[in-house]
Amino acid sequence: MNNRSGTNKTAAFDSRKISLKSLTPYIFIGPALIALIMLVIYPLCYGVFISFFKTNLSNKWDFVALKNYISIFSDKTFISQIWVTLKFTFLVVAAHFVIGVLLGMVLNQKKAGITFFRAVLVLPWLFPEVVVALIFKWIMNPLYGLVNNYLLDAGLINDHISWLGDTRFAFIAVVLVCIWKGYPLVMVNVLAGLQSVSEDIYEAAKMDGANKVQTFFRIVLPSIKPVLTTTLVLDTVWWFKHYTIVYLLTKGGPGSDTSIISIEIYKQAFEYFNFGKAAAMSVIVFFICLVISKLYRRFLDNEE
Amino acid sequence: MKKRLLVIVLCFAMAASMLAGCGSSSAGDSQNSQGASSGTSSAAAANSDEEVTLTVMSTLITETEAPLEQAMADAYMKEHQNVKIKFLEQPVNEMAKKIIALNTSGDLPDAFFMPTEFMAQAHDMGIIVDHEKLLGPEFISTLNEKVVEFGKIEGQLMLVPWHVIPVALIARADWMKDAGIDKIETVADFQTAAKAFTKDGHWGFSMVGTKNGSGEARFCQFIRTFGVNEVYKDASGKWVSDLTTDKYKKALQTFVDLSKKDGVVPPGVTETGYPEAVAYFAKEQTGLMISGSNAIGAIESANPALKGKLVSIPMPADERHVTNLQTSGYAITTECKNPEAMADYLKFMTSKDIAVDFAIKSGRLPVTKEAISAPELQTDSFKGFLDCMQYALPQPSFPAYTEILDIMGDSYNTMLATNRTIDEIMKTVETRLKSVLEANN
Amino acid sequence: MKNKKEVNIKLKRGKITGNILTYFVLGISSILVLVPMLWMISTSVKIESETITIPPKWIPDNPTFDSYSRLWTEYPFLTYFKNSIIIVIGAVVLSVFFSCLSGYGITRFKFKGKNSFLTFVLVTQMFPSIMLLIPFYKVLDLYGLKDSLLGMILVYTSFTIPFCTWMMVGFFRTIPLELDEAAIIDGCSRWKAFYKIVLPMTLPGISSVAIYSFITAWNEYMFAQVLITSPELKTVPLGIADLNGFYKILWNDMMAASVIASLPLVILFIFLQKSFISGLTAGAVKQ
Repeated sequence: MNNRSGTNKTAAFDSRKISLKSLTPYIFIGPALIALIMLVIYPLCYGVFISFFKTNLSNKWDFVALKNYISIFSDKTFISQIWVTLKFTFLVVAAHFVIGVLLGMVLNQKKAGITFFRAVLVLPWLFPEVVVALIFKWIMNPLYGLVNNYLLDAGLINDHISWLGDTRFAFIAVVLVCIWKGYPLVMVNVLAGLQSVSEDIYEAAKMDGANKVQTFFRIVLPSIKPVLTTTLVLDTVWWFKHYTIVYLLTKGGPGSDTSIISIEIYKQAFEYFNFGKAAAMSVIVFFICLVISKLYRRFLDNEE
Repeated sequence: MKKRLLVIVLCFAMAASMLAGCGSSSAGDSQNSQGASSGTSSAAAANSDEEVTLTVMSTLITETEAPLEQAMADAYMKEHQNVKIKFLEQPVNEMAKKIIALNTSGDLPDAFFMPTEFMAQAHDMGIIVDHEKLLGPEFISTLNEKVVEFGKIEGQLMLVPWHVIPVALIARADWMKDAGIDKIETVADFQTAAKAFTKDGHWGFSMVGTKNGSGEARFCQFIRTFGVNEVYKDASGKWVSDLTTDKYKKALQTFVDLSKKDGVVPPGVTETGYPEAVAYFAKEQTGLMISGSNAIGAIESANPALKGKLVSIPMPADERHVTNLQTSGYAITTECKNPEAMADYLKFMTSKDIAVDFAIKSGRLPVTKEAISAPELQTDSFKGFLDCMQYALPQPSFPAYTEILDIMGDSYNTMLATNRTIDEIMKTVETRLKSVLEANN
Repeated sequence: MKNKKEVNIKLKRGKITGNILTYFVLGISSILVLVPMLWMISTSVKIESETITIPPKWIPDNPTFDSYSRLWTEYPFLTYFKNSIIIVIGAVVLSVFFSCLSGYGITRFKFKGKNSFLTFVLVTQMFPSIMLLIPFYKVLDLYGLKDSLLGMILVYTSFTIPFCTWMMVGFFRTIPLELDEAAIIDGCSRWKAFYKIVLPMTLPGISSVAIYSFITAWNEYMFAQVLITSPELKTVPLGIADLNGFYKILWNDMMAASVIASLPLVILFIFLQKSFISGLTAGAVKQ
């Protein structure tokens, strides 16, 4: 991730202030590093540690070596849950980026009422996940929900449809809710990214005779790429681990249509109290996220 | 520049030390106060004038019963001026998580509301006192035997029984009358009633079809009436299950057919949870519901016009009547400094007048023999719940019981939602069951 | 002359279709966003027996603001708000400050362990948080910070630092290095170059990470639930969750609480999005 031009420049500073050069950068990263080390290292290690145990976290700690991992992989359902999670994550994140980038660009104009639209379009982000999930569960209720009511009135359907309970719709309904909830993060960051691109660059591109599409791909996209890459990596990781909305909407049902991996981890940990197995699953999820982020960074940072 | 950097470093050092300072001082405070309270409390057992603080983690705070419980504590504190009861609020879904977290650092409250599904795990963790010894045989003998039996895991009473929420069938008495039905005794009667109620945009049965604890607990009672025992110890002391038998297959098929074949269940059954099912019943969309006794209160408060139109009936039997008593109450933890004082307060909550009043207002029924037979409770809406108590089966102490429930939940939910055949479903049940039983035998 | 006019007309036409398209996109998306929101508001002014009706009703027969007043009289939402505000402001200030420092440090210096630091920061986000609940309680216990506002501030800071740091690295990278170089040649110290020259240019970035950390900390529920025990330290999401019972959902009160809880965020966003504009001018100057 090094910015090569940056390192060349800093080399110049380095020669001037030899006494400080080794210390200064660490002072800048120090606070963040210390805060993370103090809080996060122990929980992460704890999670890995208990994945080798059969434990109730109280008075029983039986070392079982890799037994938890073996039992996970000897079961087909885990693989299918990972598959559902990948599908879910891909659809949600892809839609976040398409919608987020589009709206971010549209909102980056000086037009009448743009502040209003900015405020409205960011709203889904502002509400707690629990509230969002409950309200959508209500809106999509087969009997007293808004959706069916309107569709029945308009004559588009002639029967009450169970959006979250029918195997034909449940997965896509859950994905849509998660898209609704998550796109503003991308939108706001695109907006912020675009705002730090200077107008001169656009002018220069125009002078060179570039059309809008060309400008977008040659000028705009590269300049917001660092911001987009970060958002992409983290958005993917977060939705891969996502739990609340899906759990509240469907509990992983109907059947196993929406059984994403976090729901299984939650059940293993706090319903079946198999903490070791839940931790082992978490470690696997951790490595999957790591691989995904490595892939992203390899493909997106290739020119650096 | 050097100087400025030095200033920054110093600022951070100061900030860090301030943070650390705050932290350690607050820790010190809490330790002091803990020390103080434990000091006084150990003396309290001997001297009733000493201050005693009891911390009680309650789940009723998110329910309508919150003021009722607060009133009980207030009444007790008025009688016992030296006792202070401090409530910590915890939604019931989060209780297990919270207790496990608190336990890792030895911060358990004096008592906490014990969710039924957490009993086996709490027993395993060894964090609960021996309630039977603490309460004494005299008090235990005042309790309904079934209630006590239900609250036990491997012989240990896991809580001080406070109330029960027996599971039975709630029906619309007026609809039954209109349809000319005078009793719902068997599963066949139940099907007849459900079909008779399904007309004019109404449905017969508010089925909870979600794959969660609430749906599974109801389904479990339904299959038990077919003579199925979901998990039990056989003669050799090994855990076995009836879920692979033809009886279970028949029960599952009957249950699913209510929705898929008979069409007596409102659309979207696989997403109908308890709140939705109650809403349907309260909005007069359905006329039958399998539920605990507290649903009566929920239905009546959502639609006061239904008062007096509800009747409760023991679970319709294919082979036998059953119920899940859902004995509920507080568990005293091993970290409680004043178990006697705590037990005294919990006994107070079961006393007749208080318990009967609580039952009428909340639908959570009493646990003492005396209070159960109180004339105020012999109403149509409670009668079935009281009658069915004799059919209660004890809670299996199988350590992975929630996983057994999940296997059941998965089977009905998948069958309701998809076109998979019952044989495929039974195969999945068998595989999962085998691995769960093996892991615990 | 004529030629220029034609171009102008063409441009104008393009602008008009552009405008129509813009407002069309904005309009459709706004409707999709607003329907659930308006439903929320509509529910919050209903009485309990009117919340669920068949068919659903937008305008209640007996509109009332009782739910809103109950938040302050029957439920201690004032306390919840106070706690949430303290925690969130603490967490936002710390995480924005820390991540600006590290963003600057990363982009302006060459040093050992830079990549390891960035990877480490990212990696902390990859473990399913459900399994971190219990060890986090133990960590706070270790520092004597369990069940305290300060503890929550630190926890939320640690949640938001990774995203903020990475974003700030991205934003600082868009600022040319010549700027600080020039400033330092002009006699500015490294610190002054940072906060006087470079930092103001990343204002849009700072706003966006501030909004992110504010929202994250404001709405976080799962960890607060486990880490906070005392009723007097509860945060707003915990208060909202208390209205969503196992047996009963108080829809009207819960929606009123959600609407009120979102207001600070809406105001904050409207306030901060202006800095996106000021960032624009700063950007124009900087080249």
